[in-house]
Amino acid sequence: MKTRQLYNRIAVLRNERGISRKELATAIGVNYQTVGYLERGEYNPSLDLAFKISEFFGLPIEIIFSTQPMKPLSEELYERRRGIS
Amino acid sequence: MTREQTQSRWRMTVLSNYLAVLLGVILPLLAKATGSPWGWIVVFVVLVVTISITFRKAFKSTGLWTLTHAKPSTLDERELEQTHAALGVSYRWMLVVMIATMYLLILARQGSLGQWLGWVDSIASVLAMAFLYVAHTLPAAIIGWNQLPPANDATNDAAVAR
Repeated sequence: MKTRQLYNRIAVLRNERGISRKELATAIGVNYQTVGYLERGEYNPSLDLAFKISEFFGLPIEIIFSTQPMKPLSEELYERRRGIS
Repeated sequence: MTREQTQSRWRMTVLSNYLAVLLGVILPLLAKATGSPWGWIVVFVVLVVTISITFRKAFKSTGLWTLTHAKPSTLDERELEQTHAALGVSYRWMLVVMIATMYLLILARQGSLGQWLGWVDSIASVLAMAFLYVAHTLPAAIIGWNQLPPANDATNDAAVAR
């Protein structure tokens, strides 16, 4: 079965928190190369792995993964602020 | 070097490895045809060295050999998916090639076709060794062939801003 391309913010979240791929990989129980494949969108994680990543960053799963290309976080934050005010 | 360039170079290494194995298989035929074995012994040594070097470069140093020979419990879900797919493809290819070869061997050993196919029988044991080698390396070759090599994932390299 051909699956859809999933987009994610793993790289930006990992960089923001100063975590190496090896550290993230150890925390979620995968090979460090798998983190690279996930970040580049070359591998779609299972639901279990997606939840592990979501729990690691302490963010809802839909903030990290999407079926649509993701906007930069700064742009999304700006739009949300404009929406609130 | 880009990942695409690394992959092209890796593919050339794998092709060299399998070409050397193929030459090793037909070497007894060439030696028999020419009579003098000494030149072919030198070629044999060169082939063994070529196979060893290209095997190390293509399969050992890239971790592909370890990946396809590891216990499933030590692999993560991406690695399991990759090895499962590669082993499936490898199994189908090997099955077709082995059945075809066995059929050729049967034909070579009996009937009027024996005079044309006798050469297959004369390299049967070398073929068996080559098949053992290919059966063990083919899954790793399939993974490496179809997938871009990993980038420098060990370091905390720059993230792509999204």
